[in-house]
Amino acid sequence: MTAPALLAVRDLRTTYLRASGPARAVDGVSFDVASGETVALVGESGCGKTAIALSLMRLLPRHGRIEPGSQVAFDGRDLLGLDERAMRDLRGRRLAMIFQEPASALNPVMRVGEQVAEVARVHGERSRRAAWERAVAMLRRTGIADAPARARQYPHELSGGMRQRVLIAMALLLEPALVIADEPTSALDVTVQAQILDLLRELQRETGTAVLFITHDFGVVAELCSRALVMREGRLVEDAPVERLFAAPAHPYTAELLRAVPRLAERP
Amino acid sequence: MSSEPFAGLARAMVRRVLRSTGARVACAVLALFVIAAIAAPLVAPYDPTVHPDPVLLKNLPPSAAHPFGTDPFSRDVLSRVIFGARVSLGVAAASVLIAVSLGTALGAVAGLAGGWVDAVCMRAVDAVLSVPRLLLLIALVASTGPLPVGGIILLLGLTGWPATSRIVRAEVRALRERDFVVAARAMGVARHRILSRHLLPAVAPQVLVAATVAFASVIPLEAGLSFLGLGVRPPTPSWGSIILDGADRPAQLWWLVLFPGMAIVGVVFAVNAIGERLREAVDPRQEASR
Repeated sequence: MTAPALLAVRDLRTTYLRASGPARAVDGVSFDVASGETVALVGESGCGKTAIALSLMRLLPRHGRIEPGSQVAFDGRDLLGLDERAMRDLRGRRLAMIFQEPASALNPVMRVGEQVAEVARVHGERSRRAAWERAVAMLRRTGIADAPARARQYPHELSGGMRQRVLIAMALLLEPALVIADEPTSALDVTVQAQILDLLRELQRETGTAVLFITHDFGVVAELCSRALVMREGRLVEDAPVERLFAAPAHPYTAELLRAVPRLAERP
Repeated sequence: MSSEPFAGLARAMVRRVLRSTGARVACAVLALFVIAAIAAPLVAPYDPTVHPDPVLLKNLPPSAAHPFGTDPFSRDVLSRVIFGARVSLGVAAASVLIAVSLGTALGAVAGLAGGWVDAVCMRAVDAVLSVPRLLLLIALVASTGPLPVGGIILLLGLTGWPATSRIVRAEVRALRERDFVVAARAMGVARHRILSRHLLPAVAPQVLVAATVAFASVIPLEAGLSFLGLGVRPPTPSWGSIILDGADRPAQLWWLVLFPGMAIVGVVFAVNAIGERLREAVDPRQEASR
C-alpha cells in the first residue's frame, strides 16, 4: 500500500436484532478502497452486502447495530465516531449511495429535478435557482435528453432507466470521494443495464470518484471493476484483483460462484 | 411548488367527489350553507338579535312573513339560522384547523422520533381519549366559566387533535422506513427537512380526510355545548342555542327545534358524504369492502 486508503474498514461487525434474537449480518469484515478505485462487493442475496453499505452510510434500520470494536476510516476520519451532524455533512457530499430500486428510492410526489437540486441545497447552495440549474446540468450529463423538461416531471412519468439516471445524478452531483452503488442495475432491463454501466464508468472517469459496486453479477464485475471482494454469510472469503479472481479463484466458494454464472455456449 | 405534486391525487379526489350523485348533492348543500354564512346580512330577512315586539311577535309558527317562525324573544328564526351558520360553521372550521394542525405536528414528531417522545405523545392521546369529549368540554367550561367564541374555538381545537395525530403517526411510521426517505437521508438531508419536504406532503391527503371527519364531529359538539348553555352565549345565534330557546316546550315550539336541527344534520351528512369519497380517492382499497 502506498497512499493511505480512502476507505479502510477493519473488523466491521453489524448485528440485526430479530424476533429470534440477534443475527450477525456482517461478521468481521476488513477491506480498503483507494481513491478513484472501483471495487466490487460480490455475493449471493442475504450475504450481508447491503448491510455493509448501510453500515458505511450509518443508515442501518432501527433494529440494526454496528458492534463496538468495528473501525471505519474514511477520508482520514473515524466514520463510526462521528456525530449525526458531521455524518449528515459527509452524506451526499463526500460519501453517496445509489440505491437498488430507482422506483422506490425517489419521492413519488416530488419533481425529480427538485430531488437532485435538494442535494445541493442541503449542502450549502443557498440559491434555489442555482441549485435547480446545477440539477438540470447534472441530469443532462447523465444522458437524459431534454433535461430541463424532464426535471419538471415526477418519478412515475420516467422510465426505469431514466429514474436510475436521476439517482446517479443525485449521487454524483457533488462529486463525492466514494459512491456506494447497491446493485444499481439489477432492477433494469438488460439493454438499459449496459447503458447505465457505461454511464457510471464514464462519470467515474470524469469525476475521479471511487465506487464500491455491490452486485451479484460477475459480468458487471468483469466489465467495471479492478478488484473484487467476495462475501459469504457475513464474511469476506476473497479479496483479489479481478483478472486473478477469474483466472484462479483462491477460495472454493468463489469458484462455485463463477461456475454458477450462466453461459451462452460452453467453450470446447 | 409544494402544492403541485398532488395535482394527480387532488384531481382524482375532485373527480371522485363529482362522479357520485350523493357527493354532488352534498357539495351543493354545503355550498348553500357556506354562502348563507358568508352573505348572512344580505340574505337574512331580519336582524337576528333585536326583539321587535316581545308581546305580539313571539313564538309565531312558520308563516309567509317568518318562514321558520319566531322565537320566545320575537326574533325571526330563519334569520337566526342563517346567522347561526356563520357562528356554527366558523367555530367548527377554526377549531378543526387548530385540532388538525396540532394533531399533524404531534403525530409527525411522534412517528418520526419514536422512543420516549412517541410514548409520551401517545399516552397524551390516550389520556384525552379516555374521557368522552363532550364530558371533557363540559368539565373544562365549568372550570373556566363562560367563554367568548374564541375560547370555545380553542377548547374544541385543543380536545380534537388525537384522531388526526394517530393517523399522521401511523402514516409517518410507515413512510420513514421507505426507500425514498432512507435515500434522502443518504444525501445528507436533515430530519426536519425530511419531515417538511418528504413526509408531510405525502400525508396531506390523509390529513384532509381526517379534517372532514373532525369537522363532521365538531358541528354537533358545538351545538350540544351551546344547547347546554356552555357554548356560544346569547344573544349570538348558534344552531345549538336556537334549539335551546325552544327546549322547554319542544312539542309546541317545534320550529325552533326542527329547522336548526335540520341545518346540523344537513351539514354533517354533507361533510361525511364528501369525506367518504375523498377517503376512497386516497385509499381505493377501501372501496372493495363496501
